[in-house]
Amino acid sequence: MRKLTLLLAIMLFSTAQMLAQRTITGTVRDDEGKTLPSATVLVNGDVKYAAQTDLDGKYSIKIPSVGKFLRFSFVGMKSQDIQIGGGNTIDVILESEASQLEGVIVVAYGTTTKKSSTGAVSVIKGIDLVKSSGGITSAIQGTVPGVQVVAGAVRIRGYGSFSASGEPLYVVDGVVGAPYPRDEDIDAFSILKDASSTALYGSRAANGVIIITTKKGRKDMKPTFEFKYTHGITSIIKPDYNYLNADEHFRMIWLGLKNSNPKNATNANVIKQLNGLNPYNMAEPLDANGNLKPEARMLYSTDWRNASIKDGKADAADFSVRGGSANSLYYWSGGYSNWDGFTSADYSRTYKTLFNFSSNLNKAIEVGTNISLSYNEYGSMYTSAANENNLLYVSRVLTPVAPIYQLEKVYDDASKTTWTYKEKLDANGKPIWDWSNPNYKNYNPLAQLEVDPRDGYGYRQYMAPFVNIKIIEGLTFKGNAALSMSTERFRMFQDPRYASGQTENGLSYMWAEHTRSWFTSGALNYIFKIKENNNFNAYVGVERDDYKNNTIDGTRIGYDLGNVTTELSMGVKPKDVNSSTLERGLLSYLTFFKYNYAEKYFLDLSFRRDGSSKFGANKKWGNFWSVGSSWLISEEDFMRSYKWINTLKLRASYGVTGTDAIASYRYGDYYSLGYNYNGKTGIKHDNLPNEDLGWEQNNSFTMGLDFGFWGILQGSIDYYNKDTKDLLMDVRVPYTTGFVTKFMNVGKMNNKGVELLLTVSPLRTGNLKWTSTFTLTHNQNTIKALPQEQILSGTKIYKVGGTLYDFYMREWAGVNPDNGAPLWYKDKKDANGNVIGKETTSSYSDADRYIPGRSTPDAIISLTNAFEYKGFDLSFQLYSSLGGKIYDGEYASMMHDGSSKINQLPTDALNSWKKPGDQSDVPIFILGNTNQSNYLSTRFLTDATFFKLKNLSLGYTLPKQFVSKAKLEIVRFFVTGDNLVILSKFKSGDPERYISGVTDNTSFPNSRTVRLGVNIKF
Amino acid sequence: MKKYNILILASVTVLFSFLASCNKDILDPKPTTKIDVDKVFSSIETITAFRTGLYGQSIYSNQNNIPFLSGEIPIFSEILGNDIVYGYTWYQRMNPSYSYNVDQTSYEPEELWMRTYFLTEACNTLINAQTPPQINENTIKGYKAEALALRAYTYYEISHFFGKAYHLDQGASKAIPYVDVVDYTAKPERNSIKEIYLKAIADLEKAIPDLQTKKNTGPYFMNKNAAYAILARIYMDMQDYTKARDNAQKALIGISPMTREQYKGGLSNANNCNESIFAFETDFDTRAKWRTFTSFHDGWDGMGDDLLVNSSLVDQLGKTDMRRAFIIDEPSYMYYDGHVYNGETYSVEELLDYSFSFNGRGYYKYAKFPRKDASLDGKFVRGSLGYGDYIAIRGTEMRLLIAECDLALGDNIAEAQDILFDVQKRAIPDAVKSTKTGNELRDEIRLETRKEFFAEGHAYKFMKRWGTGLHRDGSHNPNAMLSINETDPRFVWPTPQREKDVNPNLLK
Repeated sequence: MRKLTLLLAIMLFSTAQMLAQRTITGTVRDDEGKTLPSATVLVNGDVKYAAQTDLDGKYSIKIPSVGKFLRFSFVGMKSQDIQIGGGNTIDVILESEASQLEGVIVVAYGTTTKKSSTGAVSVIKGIDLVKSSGGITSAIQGTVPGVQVVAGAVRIRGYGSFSASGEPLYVVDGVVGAPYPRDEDIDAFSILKDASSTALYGSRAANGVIIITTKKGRKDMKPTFEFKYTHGITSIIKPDYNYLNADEHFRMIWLGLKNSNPKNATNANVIKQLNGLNPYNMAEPLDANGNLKPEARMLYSTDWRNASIKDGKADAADFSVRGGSANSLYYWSGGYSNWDGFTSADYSRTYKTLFNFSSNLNKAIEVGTNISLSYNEYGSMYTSAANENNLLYVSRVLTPVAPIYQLEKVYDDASKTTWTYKEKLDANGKPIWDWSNPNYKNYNPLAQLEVDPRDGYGYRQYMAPFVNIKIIEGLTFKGNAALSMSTERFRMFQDPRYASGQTENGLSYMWAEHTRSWFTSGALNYIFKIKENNNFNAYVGVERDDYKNNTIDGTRIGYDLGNVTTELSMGVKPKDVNSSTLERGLLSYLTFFKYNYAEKYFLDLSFRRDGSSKFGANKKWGNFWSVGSSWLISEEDFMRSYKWINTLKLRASYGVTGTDAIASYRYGDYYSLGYNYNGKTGIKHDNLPNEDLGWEQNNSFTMGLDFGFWGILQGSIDYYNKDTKDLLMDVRVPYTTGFVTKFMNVGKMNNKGVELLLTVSPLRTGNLKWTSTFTLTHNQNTIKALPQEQILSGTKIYKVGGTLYDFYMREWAGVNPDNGAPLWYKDKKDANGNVIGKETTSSYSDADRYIPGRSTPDAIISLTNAFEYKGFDLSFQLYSSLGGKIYDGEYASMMHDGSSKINQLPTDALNSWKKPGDQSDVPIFILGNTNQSNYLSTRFLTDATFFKLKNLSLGYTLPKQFVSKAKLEIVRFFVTGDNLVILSKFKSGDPERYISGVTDNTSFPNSRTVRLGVNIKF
Repeated sequence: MKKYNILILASVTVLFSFLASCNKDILDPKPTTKIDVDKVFSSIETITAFRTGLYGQSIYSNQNNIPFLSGEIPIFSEILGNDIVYGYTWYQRMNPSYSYNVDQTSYEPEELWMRTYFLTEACNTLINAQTPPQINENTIKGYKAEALALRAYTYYEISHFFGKAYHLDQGASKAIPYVDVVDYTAKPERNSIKEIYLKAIADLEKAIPDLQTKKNTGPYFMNKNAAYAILARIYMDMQDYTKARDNAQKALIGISPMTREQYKGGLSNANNCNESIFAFETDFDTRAKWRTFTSFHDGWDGMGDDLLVNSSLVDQLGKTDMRRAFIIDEPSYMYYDGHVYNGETYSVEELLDYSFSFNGRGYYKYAKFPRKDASLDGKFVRGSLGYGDYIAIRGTEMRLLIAECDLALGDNIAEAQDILFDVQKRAIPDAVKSTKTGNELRDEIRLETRKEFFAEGHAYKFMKRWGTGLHRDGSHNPNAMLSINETDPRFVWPTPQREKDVNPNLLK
């Protein structure tokens, strides 16, 4: 293709010359600053007027009178149009496209090219990251095969552990635990998936590694400024279930009373249940059959959910400047973001700045530093557990009969038989919060958002100086130190007049945290050649990671003045004061060795030895290693005849990595404090010690094929097989030992899977460009060994042969049409106790439990299409998770069938069984029922398969000729949308909530975001 | 240039080795909020802290946990009976036990089983601890005796939930393992009720010589009187009335009856109650206020609306019975503020004459267990939610037990009548001394026991001891209006499945 273009260009060059008026010269470079030979330069994009750069990237082109702009293009680079101005020199930098085997990628402890990598590594450029509003995890979702992302949780190539975290390791500019940069500061990030690429991170690598590289300056680059502003609106995808209104709920309570005892079903009793609340215009709104009398009118109905939750909005302004001279590079950025969440109490305002600088002191020594500062203020509603303080939960529970503001009756006439309501007003004419709801005495979630502040602020300072010393040709030393310090303060206040605060006449809680993390490393890297084709790279390094965290918190009670000030000094008496310190350390030695022959055969070896404070004396140190190799088949002479094969690379790797993502001090034998009594200190044995506690070990094998055909199709296919042993697990011990669990290394697990990436670029040149990318992820998780036959864990069961996410619950058999009782299945047994089938039972405790499926999908597929036409760019991503189930615990708690008495109900409850013969899937509604009908069962388990338009992004870049007049380089307007369309059987919007597949009112449902923005570069 | 290179190389090497060598101390940090095992049994201070921790554990609660000995045991005991009605509010966690729907995967048996062994592991550790010779031997003996008695108390109380009533098969049926050693790998089998009782008796008899009297220790620590009282309870279950009476009498040595005035103030302060023998103190500063015993009886804003008094018991309390004033009608719920009704403050005496309408759900009983810092007379002070003692053993129980023994042995009917009259006249100024005998007197004593002890956490124990079965009436939830005989298997909670999964010996 390149040759054809060249030939064509040369042929036409003579024609162009004839029409030339003047000559423009310049240099074409790539985004690393390297000159690009053989780049094509076209006047007005027309092949009639063409030139090509020489070996030094220089070109010279005669401009015809019709010449308006120059189009620069190069294979693997994005073409660029530049307005022809008054000058005779135009230098350009072409940005690389994410081409398959070109370009530098950042890997563990260095860089490589895709061509020479032996590992399974995916790279996402910063420019693609900012298309979505969800940050790194959202950018990975669907674009990187082999990765499952569910609401921010990332699982690379399956699931690792019972008790340790499954999250990958994040590394920012070579430092684990460095602060996350803003999306705009990210140049690119690499997702390392197999042992060959991750083993150098040893004890923390088993869940994969994500390496983030921030933007740096460039050599000989004039200061380039970039400004970006976005405004976004977020809304919960589907607000919620549909709920009963006040009239429906009132009548439902009547029905519940009738079903418990017909003589209880009176208007007065319903009102009594509702603490005297009556949403109608009269005292006896229902007739003897529970129907609304014609003269009765519902006067109000509260939609607590809608009143509580609003749309959120997000604004962000970002500014950066980057550049460099021959010896120094710099990048400085600052950003402000403001997020208003789904309630008035949820917000965040963040200020961040980053400064990356490096300079060559002489030919041998380069020094530099990365510095970042951030400050964040936030407010956050309580969502930790589904209780009366959690608005997400309470807004689903409060009866619609309870008003938000206090109401008073205005009688229609002297007989006082009918009335209307009006809101009571305070002295300032404002409505007064009502606290009389019958569900939670003295709670009003909306009022609490106002009177009970829950907020905090924090700042973080980070400085990472480094030095690179070139000792001899090819041998360099790199020394790195990173100091991170952060402070946070949080307060929570409970007003003396209402809710929880009432019991202690007001309560204020303050919490402060200081964290210090200190990372140092030193390494020698040697790159050398032996004879023509033997290329080597050897590396040896040492690292030390030291982390310390202190917290202090205090509570005082007795706040007669309310939240005038919430400082602790204001409280009448102290209630509780605590402090704690947490430390951990990691000491590591690592080395790698890379060899390739003629850039065709590649071999990587790596080894790391980690010592961790988290593990017992007998297992403190662990060894991790990998072997990776690849063969670039397409570079072989015998492949030359297959012109349609552009690239073909086979790679394989095997290695051992570990997981240490557990809390500190889990192995020791300790006694815990806090069991005080009678005013004296009391202590208690804390845990069963285990000096053999060590790493969870992952042995993984990967085989992959990278390919490129016909110049338009690229892709890769990977197969992996990961065996995990010594899984970290809180192993249940008999309670008779006095303990619940012992933290141990037990069991075995296997994850194997296939991942596929296909990119087709049917239109790569011309005005219309089109690239389409398809990914497929399939993972099979299998538990291979356990310390006991089966382990129950919440909604799940672990069994050999099963998966980590197998649901285990009673099977719903519907509703008995004769009496409306709930039914479940149980095993039917013959006289000898053999199971011969299933039968139904109306006793929950009598029913048997089964495995009705698992929460994880069978496959994840994604299709991304990107188009460019003139100044327009459009991309959209379709994403689908196939298979898996979700247990809707939120819905279960709401469909209480009367057991939660006067709690609000979804409209589905209206379909409850009413009389013998009724076919319904909702049992009889009895106020105060104890039939356990909404306990854990498949009644609330649904298929979690979904299909979504995950992202849509449309941009328009103003023509160069316009913007250059204003001395600007690029002006781009864009609009992006996330989660715009979702199709699934799940009733409450997006089933993509938790990997565990259980909803529980502890997080906001997923949201849809639409953002508008402008990006200006000059 | 060569020199320059060497210089750099040298400094690099120095830096490198510095990083690599001097930092191994970071691999062994110690937690600052815990105490290392080596320090625990090395000084009298830490051993005392460990002994204090036994009681601390018994009353420990947080957002999710009800205290064990001062919460779960008495509360489950009540909701399994007839005199307390459960299940009208959002706290539905105990519904299965209330409606006798407990199975081996239910929360209740697993929770009680688990917490039994949390506590007894600590008792066992202290009992078996090797302590340095310089520490006062008598102090250590006293602590070990407390641990022995607390262990016996725990296993005895818990055995009612997991075992059949003793008299049904002379204690032959199995209940739970009586673990009395420290072995973190052991997989014990279950002991029979008889074995549990005999082990508990042995523990108590071993402890008694080294225990202080209640007069010396106060009510908040295990003491000699309490140990005798536990023995009396055990022998009463075993229908060994002679030993039961003997031990009950010993339990009452130095214990005078509570006065009417004290009773009026409620049962939340063991120090203000002459007859308290053993009680758990709640420290209001650190305990989760929502889950304490006092909170469960606090209709105002605790969990008290979960445990109401059954109308059938209230109906049996005469208008002049002071204990009737502990109870307030459910419809006044929204106005209810301790003794404040409809905005007016009433004394206990005034409430006696106040007529309330009954709506069929049950009655509040805040005044029996008011907050420890509340004031019910004069200026009403609500006090701190959840702050109050749980009196686990008080003299009246022993006195009524003696009366039952007198009757069962047939050797002192007059004393039985006297005791009954004493108890009655404290609560009922115009009480008339009973002249009944035989089963009629027995039934009257038992009824008086119910009236006296409702909500105090003994209902299940009495029900099983008396062999009455459960025949609910009054204001119970229709789904829990049960009538079951004492041999019904539902009276025995199953061994938790979770425990059987990790200890197959429990299947034996």
